[in-house]
Parts: sequence; structure tokens; C-alpha cells
Amino acid sequence: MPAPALDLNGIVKRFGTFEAVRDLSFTHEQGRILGFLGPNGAGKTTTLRMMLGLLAPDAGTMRILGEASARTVRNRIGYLPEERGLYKRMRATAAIAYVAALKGLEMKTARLRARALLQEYGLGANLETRIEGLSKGMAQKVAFLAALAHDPELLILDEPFSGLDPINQQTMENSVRALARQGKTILFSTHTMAQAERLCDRLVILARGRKVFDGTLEQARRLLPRRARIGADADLTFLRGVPGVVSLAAPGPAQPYWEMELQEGADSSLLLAACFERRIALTHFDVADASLQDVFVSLAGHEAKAEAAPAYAESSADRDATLVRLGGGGA
Amino acid sequence: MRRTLLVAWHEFANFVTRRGFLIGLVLLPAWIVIASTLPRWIASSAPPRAFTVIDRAGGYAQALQQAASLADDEDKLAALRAYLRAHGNPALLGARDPALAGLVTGGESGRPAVAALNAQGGIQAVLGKLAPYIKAGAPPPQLPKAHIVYRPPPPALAAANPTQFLAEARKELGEGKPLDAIVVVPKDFGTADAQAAYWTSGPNRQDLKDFVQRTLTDALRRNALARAAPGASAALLDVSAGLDEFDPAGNGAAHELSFADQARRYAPSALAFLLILVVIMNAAALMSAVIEEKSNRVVEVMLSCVSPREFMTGKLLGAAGASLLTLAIWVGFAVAAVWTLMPGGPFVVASVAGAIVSGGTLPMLLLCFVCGLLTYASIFLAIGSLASSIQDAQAYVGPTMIVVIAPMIVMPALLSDPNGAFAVALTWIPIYTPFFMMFRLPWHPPALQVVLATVLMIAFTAFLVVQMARIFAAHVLSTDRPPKFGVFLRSLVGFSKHVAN
Repeated sequence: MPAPALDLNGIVKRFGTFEAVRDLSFTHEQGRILGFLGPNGAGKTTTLRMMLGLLAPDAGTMRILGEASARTVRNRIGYLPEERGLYKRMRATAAIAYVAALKGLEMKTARLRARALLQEYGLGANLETRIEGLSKGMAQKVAFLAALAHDPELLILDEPFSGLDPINQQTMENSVRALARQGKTILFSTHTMAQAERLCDRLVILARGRKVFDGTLEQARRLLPRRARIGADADLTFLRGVPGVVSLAAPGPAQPYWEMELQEGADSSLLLAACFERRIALTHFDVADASLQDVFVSLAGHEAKAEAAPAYAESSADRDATLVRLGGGGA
Repeated sequence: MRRTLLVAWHEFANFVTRRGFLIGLVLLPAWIVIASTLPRWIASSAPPRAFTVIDRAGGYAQALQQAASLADDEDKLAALRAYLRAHGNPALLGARDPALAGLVTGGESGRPAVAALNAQGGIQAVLGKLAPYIKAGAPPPQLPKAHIVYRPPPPALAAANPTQFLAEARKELGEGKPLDAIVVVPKDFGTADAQAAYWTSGPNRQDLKDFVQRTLTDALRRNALARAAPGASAALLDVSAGLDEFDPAGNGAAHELSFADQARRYAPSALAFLLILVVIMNAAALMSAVIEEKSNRVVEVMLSCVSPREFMTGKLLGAAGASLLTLAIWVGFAVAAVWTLMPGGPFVVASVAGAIVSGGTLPMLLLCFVCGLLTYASIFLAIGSLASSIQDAQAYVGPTMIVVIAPMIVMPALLSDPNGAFAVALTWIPIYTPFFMMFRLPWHPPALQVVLATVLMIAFTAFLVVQMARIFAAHVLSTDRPPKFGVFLRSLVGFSKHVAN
């Protein structure tokens, strides 16, 4: 089995008395896509900067592409920062070629590669347009191309989809998938759960500097109960008594249905049967796993609460997934 | 090294294509051209100053008239000389007509030059004689109009008694009227209590007033000489003492100080002055570029490609290249301007260039310039890395600029004593060593001082660049508020770990 592309172990980073990253450990296998999730201030960017060798951790060890420091494997890593990171006055081809040349390509080769990529990504008409003259989506594409022009093994993308319209988001997602198919290892941070659900093989969720989840999407979803939703004009509070129902919420301004959390393995048809027995006309019925959004809010929200009361204890953990025991400090 | 050079080239290209750089590049030469030509243009385009004289003593009106004519002839002769330099063939003229060549190529001025001009038949006659020596296709000469013109007094004014004089003077004097000044020379002019009266109205014509005072003084002296020594030549008053300047510390045998020697003395001061100008012009751009890179996170991309030291070194090299280009263009512009516009331009250029090169100080001057540039540029780079916005940077820029331009304030005082205790003391302030060494080099400072100052300068520049690189690396990714100025200053010399951690 090949060595992981990323291997972080017990990483800590402090800024003065503020602990931005706390005892962070995870690995990322080669050729996979890892989603690095967390609310604002969770420590994502600080961690990415440590991975890139821009910041030194105060404690812990990490290996990037088998090396102890990203500085020795710079040319094998591509990086896209959150805010494009391009010189506004540079022209598109030159901007890509400059980064690629700094990453080891000959300048002539870098320029040829930059032009080919721009053509391939639909920016053939903007080869010599200054970055400041491009739309936000176009500039984001150029920054993305600058990150991959030197054909890196590992791509680190910080919020690559922020500010993009749906069409450009789709284009970028397709590109990320295509790169993964070529064997590139990709790590991207995002706030957008839908993209993480669509793209990632594996997820790491941070909150307040701590890892609160590390596993697959399925494992994440199983952290929360399945939910059933029923639409009806009648009062359905009697469903609390149906076996397997953990909780029940009445319709409200935010959602028009009765919503129930179900125990693992609960039979959802019992809900329908109970309604039919009472001759209640239903307008809607669905049963679904928890969304990543729910898991994220649950975990990040719990972490916020844990700051105030650190005695939170995990309820369950999947076999491969890691749900960090808050207040315990271990992964 | 390859990455450093790539960054340097990018910075250089980015620097020299900025609009601000190009404007700054043109602004100084333009300002010099304007400052040097505007007064002359104003003077040449101004209407002639007309005056008349009510001469009750006798002889003074004639003296003033002759002096005005002399000044006019001198101006025309100077214009003729410039015209011949630009469009003539002085060598051929010298071979065929040495006397005429002596007049139109020599440096003689004043009465002797005008006397020689008159001996040749006057300005129009000389123009005719020069025709064979003017290159084909040359434009016709543009001789200046008389700047000061004597007019005979209007009869009503000349005949006016003291009570009528004021009314008559009002008719003649002022804006849009025939005269700029009326000079009244009293009958007993030259005695202790008698003074000439200078009547004027409207715009101030100081040049005319100076001319009248100078000419009347000259005339009084001539009269006094004639009374004291009848028969003595008035030319005695034109005699002046010759004073040749020598410098035993110059190269080789003692020799009279030439124009080249003067150039050798003052060119380094000009270079020191340019250093400050280049720093003021480029440092702010360097600093704001770093702030921009921080704010749009370009710096993260760059530091994922190169080390902070490579990044900063590349930036310094790029800025140094742009500054040297600035210097080269300014010097080139000055050479072109002197060559084409100044009387004897090619000689002046050759003298200055020869003096700087032959003086043996050129390498040292360039070393000082580069050390000074790196010192100041690295400080401004570090400021840029500390600040998250231009507003943050302002807290540092003001005090730092005062520190940078402080040498210019003391420069005039040092010119009178470039090797005095004050100048020596300033040389040992490391941040100023490059500047004051450039300034003092032509004045033959003791060899030991030169050696020690050179060592100090190189060591301090290296130390400061390393310190600044540490500050740069520690803060270039930070978006915190910058530390206080005192902490920053202490960190410059390595006494604070707060900044340079």
C-alpha cells in the first residue's frame, strides 16, 4: 500500500495564547479527494498553511508526499488560496506561466502549458487579458490553472468554489474529478456541504481547531438518525408512540412537515400504518439519511457548545470513522 | 537561485511598467527642464524694459545708454556663440580666421568682448562673415531682442518743473505705457547727500533697477577715478584679481583645479542626492506592492513556490534593478540635455565622465549606492510585511521617511566642512554611512576612515537585510495589527524578539 500523501500527527499551532489548531491528526491517501470542512475560524487555513510549509507547527509531526516538510517537495504540490492569489496586472498566460516556472518548469514550457490549459478551459480568447480585466469566475479558473500547470501530485485548494456561479462551480467540480481520475491527490476546504457530498471520498471536519470528524460521507451520515417527514393537516403527535421514533417536531415556519428522528433499523412503514389507521390524509412522506449539512451543523454546533461546557460525550462512533471525544483531547 | 532570479525579473518588470514609476521617471527631468528653462523663457518672452533718464548732472544718461547697448551686444554675442556651436564649423573658422574664431568661440565677456565684436563691424557684420562656416540647411540664427532699452526723455517730461513732474511721470509710467522707469540724476549727483531717483509704477522690474544702480555706481567710480588720477585709463576699473585653485591631494602632480576636478568633487554629491530621490520614489511602491500581495493572498502562492528569503531577495534585486535603471535614465537624460543645450555641452559631459571614471571612486560610489538602496529598500519591504493596509503602514512611513531624508537637511552644512567632526560622526551612523561616504569621498577622507566605513557599510547592509528578511518571513502572512514603531525599531537592530521571531 503506498504511503499516504498527507500524514498529520498531533499538530498544534498557537498564535500567542490562542490555540488555532489543537492536536490534529489525519491521513490522506494518494489519488483520493479529501474534503476539509469547518466553520469560519475552525483552523482550516492555518492547517493548510502548515501543510504548505508556510507556518511551522508548535507541536506534532507531519509528512507531505513522504517528506517531513513541504518545502522539499514544493514542486510536487499545487496550491490555490481562497482569494485567487494572482497579480492583478499580470496577463492570464503570464500569471500561470510564472507560478509554473517557479515550480520548476522552464519558462518556455510553462508558457506553452499555460496557453494550452487556458484554451482547454475555455479561456482561449483571454490569453493576454490582464487578471483585473477578467470576471471573478474567469480569474478563479486562471488561479486554478496556475495551481495545476506544473502537473503536481498533490493539489491543495482553499475554498475553490467560493464566489463562483453554478455553471463555473460545475466546471470546476468536473475538473477536480478529472484530476482525481488521473491519480492526483486532492485536498480542498469548503463551507459548501453539497460540493463536499458530491466530490469527496473522505471528509475531515474541524471546529475551533479540533478535528470533530474523520471518515467517509456514509459514515458521517450515520452519525445522525434517519429522518422521516410527513405532510398532513392533522395533528400527528400520536406518532411519538410508534416504535423506533426518537423525537418528533411539528411543522414550523422553516419546514412545513412533521419531522421525526428514527432509531437505527427502525421500520418507517409503521409511521404510514399508524396514519392510515387513523384515516389521516397525507400530502407528503419521505425517509432519508441525515444530510452532511445536518452532520456538520450538529458537530460544529456541539463543538461550540462544548467550548462553554466541555463535558459532551459522543453517543456513537462508526467502525472506521473517528468522532472525536470532545474535552478528551484524543482522536 | 533560479527562483530568486525569476522573482527578481518579475518584480523588475512589474516595477518598471507601473504608471507611477514611469511618471516618476519623467517627472524629475521634466522638473529640472522646467526649472532651468522657465526663468529664461519668461525673461526672453517678457517685453523689453524701457527707461529714460532726466540727467541734470550730465554724462550719466550716456553711461546708461551705453551700458544698455553693451548688455544687448553681450546677449547677442552669446546667442551667436551658441548658434555656431550647434550649426557651425568652428575648426574651419579657426584655421581661416583666427581673430573671428577667437571672438565667437572664446570665453571672453563684457566690454573686451563687445569691443572685439565692434572691431569686427558689429553683430550683423559678424553674421555675414560667419555664413561660409555654417552648415548647409541650418536654421537662421535667432538673436535675442534687447532686454533693456534706453529711450530719450519725452520733451514734456524733460521740460517739466518739480510740480509738473509727477503728472508727466504718471503719463509715461506703468502697465501699457511707454516707460517702465524714469531715472532722475540730480545736478550734484555723486556728493554725499545727492542720490538719483528711480521712478517706477506697475509690475516690479527688479532687473532694471539693478541694472540702473550697477551702471550709475560704475559711472560714479569712473568719475572718481578721473578726478583722483587725471589721464588714468577707465579700463583700470575692469581689472580683477586672478585666483587659480590648486589641490595637492589630487591625482598625480599638483595641478590647477579644472572643470573636471570640480565635476569629480560634486558628482558624488549629486549621486547621493539621487539615492535619496530614488528611495523616496521607489520605496513606497515596493512597500505598497507587499501590502497588496498580502491583502489578495498572492503572498501565499508565492511562498508555496519559494522561500521567504528567496522571495524577499528577489524583490530587493528587482527593486535595485529598477532603481539603477531609474538612475541610468536620469543620468542619460542629463547627459543628453547638457550635450545639446548647454554651451560646450560635449566638453562638459566628457569632463564629468572622465573625472568620475579617472578619479577611481566609481566602484566605491556604486557600492555605496547599492548598499544604501538595499538598506532602505529592505526597511520598506519589512514595513510592508508588517502592515495589513496602507493605513497601517502610514504609522511607519512618516517617521521612516524623516529618517531617510535627514541627510539632505544637513548637506549644506557639510559642504563647508566635509571632513569635520560632524561629518565624521554622521558617517558612523550605519544607516547613513552609504550616503555620507558618497558625499565625502571626493574630499579625500583619511584612508582608515574609508576602509572602516566600507566594512561598516557592507556589514550593516548584510545584517539589516538578514534582519528584515526575518521580519518579512515572520509577518508577511500575518493580518494582525502591526507592532508599535518603537518595537519595530528595536527589532531592526535585533533587540526585540517580538517582531523578528
